[in-house]
Amino acid sequence: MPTPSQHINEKDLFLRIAEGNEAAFRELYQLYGRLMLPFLTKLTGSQDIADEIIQEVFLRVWLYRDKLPGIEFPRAWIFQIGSNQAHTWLKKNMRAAEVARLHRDVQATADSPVEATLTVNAIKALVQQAIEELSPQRRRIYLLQREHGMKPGEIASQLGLSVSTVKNTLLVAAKDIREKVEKAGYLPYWLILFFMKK
Amino acid sequence: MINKERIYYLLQQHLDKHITPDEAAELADMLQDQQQDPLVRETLQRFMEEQAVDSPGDIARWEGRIAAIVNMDRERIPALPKGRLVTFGRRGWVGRRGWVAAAVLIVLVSGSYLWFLNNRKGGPSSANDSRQVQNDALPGGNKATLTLAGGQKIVLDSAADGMLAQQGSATITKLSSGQLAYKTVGGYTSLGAVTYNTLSTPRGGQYKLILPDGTGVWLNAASSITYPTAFNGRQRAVIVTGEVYFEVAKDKAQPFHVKANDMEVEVLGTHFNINSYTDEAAIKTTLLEGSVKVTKGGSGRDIQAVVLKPGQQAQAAAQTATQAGGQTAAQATTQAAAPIKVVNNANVDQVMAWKNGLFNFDKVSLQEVLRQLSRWYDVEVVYQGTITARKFGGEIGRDLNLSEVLDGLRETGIHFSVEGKKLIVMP
Repeated sequence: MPTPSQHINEKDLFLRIAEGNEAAFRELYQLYGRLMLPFLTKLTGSQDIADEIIQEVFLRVWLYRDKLPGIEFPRAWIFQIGSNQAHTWLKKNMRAAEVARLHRDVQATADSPVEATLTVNAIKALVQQAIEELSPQRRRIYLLQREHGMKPGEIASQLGLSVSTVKNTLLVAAKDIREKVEKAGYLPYWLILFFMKK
Repeated sequence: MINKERIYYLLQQHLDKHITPDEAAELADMLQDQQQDPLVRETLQRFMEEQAVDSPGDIARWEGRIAAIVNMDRERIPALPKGRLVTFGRRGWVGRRGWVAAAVLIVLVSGSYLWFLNNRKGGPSSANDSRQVQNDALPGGNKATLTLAGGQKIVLDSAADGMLAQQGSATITKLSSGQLAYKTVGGYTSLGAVTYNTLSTPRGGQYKLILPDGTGVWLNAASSITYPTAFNGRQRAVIVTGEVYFEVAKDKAQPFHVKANDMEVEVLGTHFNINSYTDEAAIKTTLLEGSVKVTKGGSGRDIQAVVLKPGQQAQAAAQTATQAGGQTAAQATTQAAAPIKVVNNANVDQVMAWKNGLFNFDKVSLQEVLRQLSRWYDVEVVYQGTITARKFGGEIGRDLNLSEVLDGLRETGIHFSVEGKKLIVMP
């Protein structure tokens, strides 16, 4: 059962992140990163690995930001991605030999091979290519937000469009980019099937 | 048959570090059994929820990771190392990028490195308490003056957000982020002369501007850009002084031209930095993305051009006022003939540091370090006695007060005193 959020309003953060607001993204990253850190550190035996898993989680939150406005239970959705990423790591790194070794010899944890390639580095070129391939109007609006940090209202005024058109375009552009990344074989696509608002 | 309780038990044993070798083998086998995947995931999520407990305070070491994600669709960012500081004896090598709450200064002293960490967010040390700095120079900020075509000046730091002025078919707006944006209403006007505006930053200032075509322009301290309020011609042409970084909006129909002293850069759609301060030895154009053609002025046969690829830097000896005025014919010919030098694998991090809120020095003289500081903190540098020939390197945040930066330099053996707006370097 999802617990109610206390001080931070996740839904408000989600709406701002959907528009590309980086301050909101940083706030969510820090808050939920800290919530997941103790468990992930215990599970993997390494704070570095926990940090990387958390980064993988939030990379997905960022790339799936067009879905954020429709998510009914933000906390559960984030934890689902978190446990997914933890599961992926476990399957890769916890074969019989490692599990036994992990508990015989604590030092082995520090030396155990870690999946070093972070998805964010692997897909950066894809993301930039995808931006190039956006339709001109979509790209213009997207870049005004991403590169100049302009708010939807300011973009709307600059281009003579309605605010809702700008907001929708930002979501669609984010989706276009993510779909290109998925097509290239990154990110699980079934993530989005869960916890959607009716 | 594995059931939910068994999975929970095994994972709990693993988390508590009580797991027996047999149980460990069972856990490993279970993880590889795809049929168990949904149950395993569900159990993991349950543990994650049960063990979610917050500790206050942001985790600084994550800042680089957060940046990597949001910067994916922006210019190339430095590769992120694992975040450990590594030293080999006295030869120091800093593995961490200067993004977070630590300012690092490395000094290269005749072949060996000294390094130390200066925590800028840490509380003041007791030694500093007794030394209250009077008139400590604050770091620069978003300051600029906009000069309209009729000569009217608007100081942007104190201007309110919203529309500042309307000139012909263009409206000028100050955005909530502080930057300036132009909007051409109705596009093309063939009637009337195009008006030119100049945006200039003082010493200690920096500013960002969006031109009518969506091109982003970042001005460093003591810099300026002169531009038309609407791009109506066959080209988009601007003139700059000082240091300016561009992210040019693509428009094949209208090439973008930048003129700095006698150097011209022609671009299609790209990201590049021009450093044309007249007190530096050369005008440097560094290309990050896209493609530019750099031309050095002159006449007839003296015109030279190079085409840059990303990561390259074009250097052209700057023509100073005294040179232009007082040369003999022979000197003038020699200088005009000096070729544009192209540097491969330019240190882009160093070139772009200012835009990212940092100073980045890479084996430079003390004079160069202090020239950059003097522009940002708006102080005049006065040298007494001989100037050290040592080279300096490192990264410092631009948001520190001058006294904090000088404290760092003092640790390397340089002596300073500050009197009003004068920074005196003593032997």
